[in-house]
Amino acid sequence: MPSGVEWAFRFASETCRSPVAAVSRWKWLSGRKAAGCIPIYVPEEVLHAAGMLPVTIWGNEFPPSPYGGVPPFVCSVAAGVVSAIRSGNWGEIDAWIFPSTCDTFQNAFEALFPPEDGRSRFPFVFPATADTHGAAEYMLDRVEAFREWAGEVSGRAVSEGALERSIRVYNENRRIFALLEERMTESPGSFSGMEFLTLSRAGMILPKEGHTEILRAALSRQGDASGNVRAKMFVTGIMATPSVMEAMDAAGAAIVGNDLALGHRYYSGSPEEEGDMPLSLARRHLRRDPCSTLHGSVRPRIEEVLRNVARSGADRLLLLRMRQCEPEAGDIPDIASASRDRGIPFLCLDVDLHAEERASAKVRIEAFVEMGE
Amino acid sequence: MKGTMLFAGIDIGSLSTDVVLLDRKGKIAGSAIVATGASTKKACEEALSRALGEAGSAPSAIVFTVSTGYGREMAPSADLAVTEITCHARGARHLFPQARTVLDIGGQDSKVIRLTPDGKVADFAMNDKCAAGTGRFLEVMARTLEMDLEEMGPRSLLSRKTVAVSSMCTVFAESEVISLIASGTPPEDIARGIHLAIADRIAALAERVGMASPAVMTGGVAKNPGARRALEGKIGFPLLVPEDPQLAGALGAALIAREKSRAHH
Repeated sequence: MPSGVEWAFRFASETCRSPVAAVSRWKWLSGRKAAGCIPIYVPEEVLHAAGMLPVTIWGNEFPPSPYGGVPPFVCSVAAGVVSAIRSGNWGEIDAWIFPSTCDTFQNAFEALFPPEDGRSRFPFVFPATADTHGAAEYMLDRVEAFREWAGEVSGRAVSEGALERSIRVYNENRRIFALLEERMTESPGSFSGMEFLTLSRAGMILPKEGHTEILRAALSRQGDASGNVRAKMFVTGIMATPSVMEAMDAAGAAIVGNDLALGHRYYSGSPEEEGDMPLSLARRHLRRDPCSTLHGSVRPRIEEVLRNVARSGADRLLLLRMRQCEPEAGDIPDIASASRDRGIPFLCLDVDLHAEERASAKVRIEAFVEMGE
Repeated sequence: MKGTMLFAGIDIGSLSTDVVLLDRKGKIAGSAIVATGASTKKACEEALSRALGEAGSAPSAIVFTVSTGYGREMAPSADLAVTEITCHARGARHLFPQARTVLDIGGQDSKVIRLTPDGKVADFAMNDKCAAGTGRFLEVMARTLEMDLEEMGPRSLLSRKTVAVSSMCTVFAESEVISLIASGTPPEDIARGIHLAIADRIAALAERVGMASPAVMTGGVAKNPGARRALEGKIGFPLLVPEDPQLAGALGAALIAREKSRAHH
């Protein structure tokens, strides 16, 4: 009989390994619909309140199909998702949400979504920048439209009460995830990079109530692994892949903080649980952590990252860049020089979901760890 | 030799496996360079055996071994695996204590390593998975030019005209070279163009980490005078080259082996 901790990791790993099976199981048990969310800024609470399962699709769930018809300049997240849709994979998804996280996402899905695919889709177009006058009003309008669409797709209108309950469920999940991150900061090595990635990613597939239980079980694990830690890293960027995490774990690098799109940036920021619920979700979006794709200036992001590096006690900054991610690429030289100016060793590692350079990533990470020795 | 203690560094690269054995005083007792071929294990054994033969010692004399290079984790007898970045930095700095930058162009990858004033790695950059800017690029080009690899460097120094060859992709560069041959461009000029393409690539890496003088060039390509001159032209100052640039990684590994063994005991 596995312990609660073992069960938690086993269940989360299985979910990450077979996300389609996890979604299929949920649909069979609940008899409800699943909505595919393209990363990363979809206000999922609306879907939850409509009784749907929001599933973040990262594009690495299936190998890219040669019939995907995706141009080579598209990043591997967008390429993977488009290829999966065009190849008929992800049949468990009943409806799609395409957020305008970046120009590539917005245009790739609009241009490449197969016209014969009859599934409903909602293009969630965010305000061009989060810090402009009128952005709140516009975002509120989009949240309301999204709420209406979710109600139509699910057949269950999204009431204020349901939205409030969903916000509470999500906020609780965020609170517990924050505890996981806190543990990793305060006790470096308490969770390996691979464990962190698994716990984080599983939460983007499973219903939040279940994920919260998994996180609670994982947090019940005691023990001190700090003796094996050779370097304390703050990881920023778009996403991490299992092979990057494995290389970090093997090299003795502990993640003590992150603002990964696949980690902290997905879970951070809680909407208010009282008042006007759609407004609360709109405000959350506008208060998001600085991100290359959402904010006009790179400066707030640099300052935030460096503040968090200091707060986490990290001795190195690792930036994971999604190959072909233009907004991120534009910010990297500034982040690199700001980090080096403050004496923080910096490494930028390219990530491609479908053409991983495992040996090359491994040597870079190991050398980065050795730098301080 | 009875009572001899040796510290081994094994650098398993894509093209060659290099071994350096240091004695207790840190002096090179033996070294060897063999082709890696298809079996890393066999190459390690052969290189070690040759280096031990040169040192006149038995395998039991080796008290600590550090492996490095892309095959570092496959070295059968290694006590510790350390990346080639750290080892090249260590080896180059040992040979040239004033060094502040190391440019290593190996068979499969190239890297630029910036050192702190006390010789530690401050920053580094490596080429991406493309073979452009590596020893493999030169090999492919030499084959296309029907020239021995060793001949390519000296021949390129005879060039009188600059021709452009793509620095971005080995496959594209190869077809460019074929076109240049077909148009009657002298092989010396093409060889120079190829070296300039490599230099462009390395200079771009160097820009990412920031070059500081003096700089040491290591790896097999450092033996090519044409590549060296092209690179010096790009970076704007002369490069220091060890007598055996290919052995710098293995030397660094052996130095670390000696240090770790002392700490261990």
